[in-house]
Amino acid sequence: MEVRLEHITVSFGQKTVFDDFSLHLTAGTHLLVQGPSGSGKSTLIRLLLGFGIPDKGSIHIGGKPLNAQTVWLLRQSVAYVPQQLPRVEGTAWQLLEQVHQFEANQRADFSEKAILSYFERFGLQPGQLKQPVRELSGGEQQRLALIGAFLLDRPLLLLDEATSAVDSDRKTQMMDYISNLKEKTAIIVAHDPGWQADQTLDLTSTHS
Amino acid sequence: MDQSVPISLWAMAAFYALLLIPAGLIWYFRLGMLRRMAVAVVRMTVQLTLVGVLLIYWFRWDNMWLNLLWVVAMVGFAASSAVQNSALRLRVFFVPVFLALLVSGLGVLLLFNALVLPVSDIFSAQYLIIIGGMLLGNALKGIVIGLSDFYQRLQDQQDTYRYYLAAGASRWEALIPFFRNSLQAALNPSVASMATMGVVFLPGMMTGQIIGGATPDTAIRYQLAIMVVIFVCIALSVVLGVAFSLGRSFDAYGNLRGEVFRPT
Repeated sequence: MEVRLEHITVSFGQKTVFDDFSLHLTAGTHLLVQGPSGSGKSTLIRLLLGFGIPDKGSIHIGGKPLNAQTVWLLRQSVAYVPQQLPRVEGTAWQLLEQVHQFEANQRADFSEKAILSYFERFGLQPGQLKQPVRELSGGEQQRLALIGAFLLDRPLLLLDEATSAVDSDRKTQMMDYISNLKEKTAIIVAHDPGWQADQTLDLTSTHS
Repeated sequence: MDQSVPISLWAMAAFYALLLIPAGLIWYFRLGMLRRMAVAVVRMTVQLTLVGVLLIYWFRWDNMWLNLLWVVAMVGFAASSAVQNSALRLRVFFVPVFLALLVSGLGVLLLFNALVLPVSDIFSAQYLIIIGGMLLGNALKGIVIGLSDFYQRLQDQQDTYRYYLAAGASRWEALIPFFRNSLQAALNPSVASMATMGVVFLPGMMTGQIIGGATPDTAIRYQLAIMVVIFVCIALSVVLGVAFSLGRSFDAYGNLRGEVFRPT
């Protein structure tokens, strides 16, 4: 899925995070986004999800302009993995179930078999599916969030420090898995070394 | 009709003198609310005296349109008070809360009157204004709790809301977990009070009716009926309050607007 940002300007009060910033990703490109805190990495993800609106410029996803009318449909093309899972009361199963109850996700594969296959692949125990999310470690929660994203099977992956708490062996495994998703476009915000991407965007340079 | 023993002005003065006890405690423990308490007592006295005078005329005229006007005015005060007792901004929430209280309060009130009274009397001052006041007083507490909980929780757990939106939820689908919690928070006090009614305390309406000369049998029937309609009214007003306020509280992208809350 193609992603295009054109002449984006975003400011918060006195601070300009993006000034006439442009980016073009063809479908299937994996982009690694790096930069210090406050450089705009998470803002970039928020812009693509319609959680922030640029002061100037335009965003196109899959050839469609991102605006108030299209954002609802475009979000259905995105699998977003935040650094931390939201605070939810229920079990891992209930969190995944909640997301799959949304009308837009009714057709996604939500079989126990599919879930357990990902659990096995990423080193989670089947019993953890019935465990409260808040009892899972940070790394396990991140793996659960990634599994949730893979289950949705969306063409655009937005990963915001999605493996920061995963132990190094698992992290390598997950990075390899994501790198092999060649048919998906991925924007990977990460500090971790080891990501293989087609392009790297260092936001330090956009602010210098 | 009035079988209650009137309270003399001397007795009233004696009751007011009792306020020296909490005033003394506030002063001694330096709670810093002496002035606020004094203002509240003065306001209560002036407001209730004025209402008493007005009610004398309203009962005398007993005109359907005037009675409805009174109820609409009560809804207006209730809406303003409900929003001001929360952290929400009056400019954004007055109209939705007003409409929610009007629809739920007036609807339930007319239904109550229609079930209790002959049709020709459902707009009579004695029932429309008095029961309406009681209903709105309770619905107001419910809507304050419900709306505050809804928007505060949404603000505190914005990452959860956005996670659902990002996963493809419609605005309503993403809001349902928050709404569920707020409705529960609004209904909980009424459920608790219904469960203990008559055992832990005697409710105000029943007490008033018995003092006024009604038999306990009649008073209990009224109390049961009013508790049911209060509960229905709270549930409806919270649902409608949230539903009517959504359009003003979110932008077209589904983001919670910053101006929902009063500046601190």
